[in-house]
Amino acid sequence: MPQVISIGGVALGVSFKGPSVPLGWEEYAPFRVEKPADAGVLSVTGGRRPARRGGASELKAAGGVKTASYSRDDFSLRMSPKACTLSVAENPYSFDSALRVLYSRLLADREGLLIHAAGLIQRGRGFLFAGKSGSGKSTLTRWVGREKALSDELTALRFDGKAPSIYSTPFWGELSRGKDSRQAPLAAVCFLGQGANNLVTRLSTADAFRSLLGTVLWFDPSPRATARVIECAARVAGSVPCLSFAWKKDSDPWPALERAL
Amino acid sequence: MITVYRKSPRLAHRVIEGEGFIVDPADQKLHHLNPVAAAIWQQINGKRDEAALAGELREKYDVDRGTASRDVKEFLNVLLREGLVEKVPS
Repeated sequence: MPQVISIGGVALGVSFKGPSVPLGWEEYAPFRVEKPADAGVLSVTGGRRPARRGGASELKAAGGVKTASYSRDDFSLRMSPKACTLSVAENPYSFDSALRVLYSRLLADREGLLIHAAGLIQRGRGFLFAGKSGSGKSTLTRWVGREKALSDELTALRFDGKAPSIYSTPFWGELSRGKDSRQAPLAAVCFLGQGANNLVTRLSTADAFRSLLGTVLWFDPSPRATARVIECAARVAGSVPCLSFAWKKDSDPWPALERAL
Repeated sequence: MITVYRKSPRLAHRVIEGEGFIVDPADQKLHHLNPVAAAIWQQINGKRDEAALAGELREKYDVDRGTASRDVKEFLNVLLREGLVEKVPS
């Protein structure tokens, strides 16, 4: 019987062939749900032996509107409308990587995105803090407090009707994984940088769209699937305030952000 | 024989606030078009040749024939070089 996990509101059944489950599977416990897997079932086979030692090879992706395949040395993932299969090396990193790739596609197929951003909740509202490595996502998350964080690295976003919400993921960066799964309506997208003082600038929809596209986790070469990502990013850019936020390290970010909204 | 231009079918693209964005899924490259370039891009439909595209640009921006022809020619060369449009004999 597959165990079902839900990330970004997308429920995926996961079944393991053979006696063992991937190392680190217990870390996904906060995302287990007792409901049908609307995204199908992922059949996982462990024991894949990478061809090379140390480091992951480049990801190769191929696909169409309904099917996709992704492979690198340590995993091979195939998706079709009826089933997904994963052959993976037996370490927690490979399974985690494969799940990130899989969910980047599952979310995109369902009006969602997986975004390189810290997701934080303030007074019941969700804020995305997007930025490159070193921009301060994890530092900000640490300062705001783990209890308010959906992730410090990869946050799921999905439209539920007209409005987007952001969701916890098991995909964390510098900080260890959170212990729960939460969601919040998206109040703003903040493109994070560092500054001597907290400075917030509102972006035009076009600039927000361009910045947001640079933060979306996406591997699929299919034009139609890519078009869905673009449409979703455009909807986000047009539906919530998008801000450039230069954050003064170790200062309270919320007053400046609240003033801008 | 007239040569018309069409957008490469592998691309995803969108115009937002007059600016054009083209994503090439093959290399995940994002191309950003200013409003004039986006206006030309939107007119590329597999049926218009260089002259027709220049005509559309003159109508939209009220520019002289020479400027419109030059802008369209330069832009089409860039698009061809980047593999974003294809020439189609008509």
